[in-house]
Amino acid sequence: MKGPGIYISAIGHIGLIGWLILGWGFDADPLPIDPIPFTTISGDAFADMMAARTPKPADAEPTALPQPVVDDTPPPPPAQVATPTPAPTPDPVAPPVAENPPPPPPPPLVTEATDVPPVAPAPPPAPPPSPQLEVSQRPTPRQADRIAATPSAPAPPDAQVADVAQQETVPDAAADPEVVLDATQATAPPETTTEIVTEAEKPSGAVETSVRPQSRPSRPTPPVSTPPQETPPQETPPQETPPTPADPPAVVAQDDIDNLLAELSDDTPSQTPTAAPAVPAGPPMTGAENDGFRVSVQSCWNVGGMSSAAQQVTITVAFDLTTDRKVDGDVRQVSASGGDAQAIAVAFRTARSAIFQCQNRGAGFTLPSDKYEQWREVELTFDPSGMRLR
Amino acid sequence: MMKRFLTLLVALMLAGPVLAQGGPLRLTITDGVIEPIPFALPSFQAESLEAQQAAADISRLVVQDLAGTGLFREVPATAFISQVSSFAQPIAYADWRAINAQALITGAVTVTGSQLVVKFRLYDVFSGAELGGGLQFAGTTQGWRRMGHKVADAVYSRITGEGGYFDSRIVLVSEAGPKDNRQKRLAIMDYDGANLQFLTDSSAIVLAPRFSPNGDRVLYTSFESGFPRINVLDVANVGQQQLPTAQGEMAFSPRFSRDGRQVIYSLSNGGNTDIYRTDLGTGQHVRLTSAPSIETAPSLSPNGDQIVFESDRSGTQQLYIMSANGGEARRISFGEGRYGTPVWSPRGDLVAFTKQNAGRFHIGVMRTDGSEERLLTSSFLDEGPTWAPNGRVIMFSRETQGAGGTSSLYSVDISGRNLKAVPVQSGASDPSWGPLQQ
Repeated sequence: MKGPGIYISAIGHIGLIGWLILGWGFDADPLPIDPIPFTTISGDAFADMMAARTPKPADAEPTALPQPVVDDTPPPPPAQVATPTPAPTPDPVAPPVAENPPPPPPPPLVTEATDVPPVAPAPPPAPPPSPQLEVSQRPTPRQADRIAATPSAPAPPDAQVADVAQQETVPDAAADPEVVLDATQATAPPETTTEIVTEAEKPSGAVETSVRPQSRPSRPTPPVSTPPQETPPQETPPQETPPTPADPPAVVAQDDIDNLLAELSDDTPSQTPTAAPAVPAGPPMTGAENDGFRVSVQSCWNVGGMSSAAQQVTITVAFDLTTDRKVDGDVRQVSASGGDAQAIAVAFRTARSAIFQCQNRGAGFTLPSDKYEQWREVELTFDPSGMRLR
Repeated sequence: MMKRFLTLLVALMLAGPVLAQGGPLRLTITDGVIEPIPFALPSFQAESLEAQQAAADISRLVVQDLAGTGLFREVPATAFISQVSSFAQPIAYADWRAINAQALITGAVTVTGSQLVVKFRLYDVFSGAELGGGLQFAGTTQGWRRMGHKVADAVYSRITGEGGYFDSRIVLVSEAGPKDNRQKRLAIMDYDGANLQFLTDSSAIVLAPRFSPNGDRVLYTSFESGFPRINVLDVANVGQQQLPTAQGEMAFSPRFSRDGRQVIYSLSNGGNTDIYRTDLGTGQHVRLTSAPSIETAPSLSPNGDQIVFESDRSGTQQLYIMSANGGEARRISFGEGRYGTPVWSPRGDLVAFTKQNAGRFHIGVMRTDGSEERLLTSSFLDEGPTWAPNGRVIMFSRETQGAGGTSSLYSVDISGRNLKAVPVQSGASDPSWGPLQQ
């Protein structure tokens, strides 16, 4: 009894086989091929060319090398060596009698017996006393002027607050004095917490300070030795030894090849496209690329200055981007919900400001340049519902 | 049939990726940031020699107002790339973008005799366009602070989309002397503590002043007769009248209705305290509660339909809401501790309150259904919250511990941020925030 499963299986297999035979039904674009100009040369030309590069053997017949002379005389016997006689055993000698007895050993140092235990060796220096730390009853983020999705520690005292963290540029004494780096001050992002912390939520037993970790002992600095006068490494590629008069065939061969290649390049039609390069479409954006773009925009979306009514508005805006990742034209409002006209206007202005501010923070948005067609048009929905109770 | 189904399935599988690749890149942003908006305010141009001082003072005041909200941050003048030398000068937006100023405020001041004119423009730097049109205010040189506050209010309103609160006043109880012999007087001042003026002398204890909706009158509780009575004070001429109260009754904790024609208050008679409403025009009064417990501190909703008040009818002091005409009340506070002095926000969405729990006092807010309770402050004694006209800021009084403790005013954003002291020349308590001045 053939059940419907047999038919389904048969149809499925037939369809799959047919699908495979028909080449998956896709019109796959061929992979990009970089054209390499080449040509063919005749066997005679190649032989001539190789002959010109191969040094010709000398016209004279080779002469045999002189045979080595073999000395058949046996080597002289080794000279007789006198057998060493053993040294006579010395007679025992009585120890000399000292006329003056040696001085008695110094009396041991007598100390009064006490119950005090011996002094232990000095311990290593103790670390500095730790401040009395109270146990935090409840971890509560510290108060900060900036609230964002990801927290960041307060900037170091010697760092300037900036959007992007960078280390201070310190001149290196050992560096090449001719290479002068632009002195930059250390920057750090502003202190950020993930939620608003009110005075009432601030636990009184919170840890205010932490013990600074002990610094590791510094390694002994290696002795500074004057390096020998060495010639600085040449960054330029090693120069080819100029052809000596002894190698004229090589020169001829190189010239031939160059001339041949030049002729070929002249004869071959140009493979360089004259039209503008096609805009890369690229594969779809990955999740990480989408997240990177989203994070960069949301870091500029400041909802703190919006009215309560505007914080109820979910708004969708659209804009086009140029290939250098800048907004082409202006931001357009697509849709909005959750508020009156004034609240929507504020929500739109805040979203628009976030887009332009984020664009101006660096060299455009962080988007893969080889996927331009995937992000040429962008539609962003700003939903502040999760931010109202931060 | 099965074949069609499989064909359709294969077609959908093939079309899926193609369809997914079409159209714009669509993303949803849900996590933003909350941080002060940087703004630049080059000192306003003095268009006459006499205007130089006023221009500098008004510029400084606008910066103080905006930065004092915690929503804005001034970009220091030392960071400016381009200078504004004329009110009509075109704006070099790129220079202001480079220093990350999101808003630019330019202005000019003219003084002619005793008349002062201030005008300003606000620019959205990243949009490269003016935000709203230019605006100018005219007044007297003595009123330069009010004009500065009005400029700040306009800027605040255009950027945030909600009204400001800088051109408003506070009525309060000014305090002087030791705790056991404290002198209390009614006083009025600007929202930032400037222009403090006394409305009463210190001959009688005064408590709980409350502004009328348009700011022309003040209700307060006076112990002039030895018993608490409710007085109505005219702010313009300091004239007073007393709410009629029978012998042996104690009236306190008054508030105006939203139209300013009626007063709701607590009346204690025979050991029982209930909430009443009295018409100021006719003197007719209505009893709104009749429970044997203590009902007090009534506050009307913005539309006047409901009253939030405190009551100990459940055994502890809690918050309740009932109709403005009385009737059954529903409890909205259920947390630990005791709740009191509820005040309905001007927006109508929140209720501010004082909470006492575990030996600490808090100022907090909750929604009108009791949800989303959030404590904003914590101290030895915080009490008496009052709302800014825009419902975004709360002012309250804080008293320090000990015999030498003093009372002072503080303000805090409803998010709990920007907690700061209000500079008052003397000790102060019981603030009531008035409306924006006309």
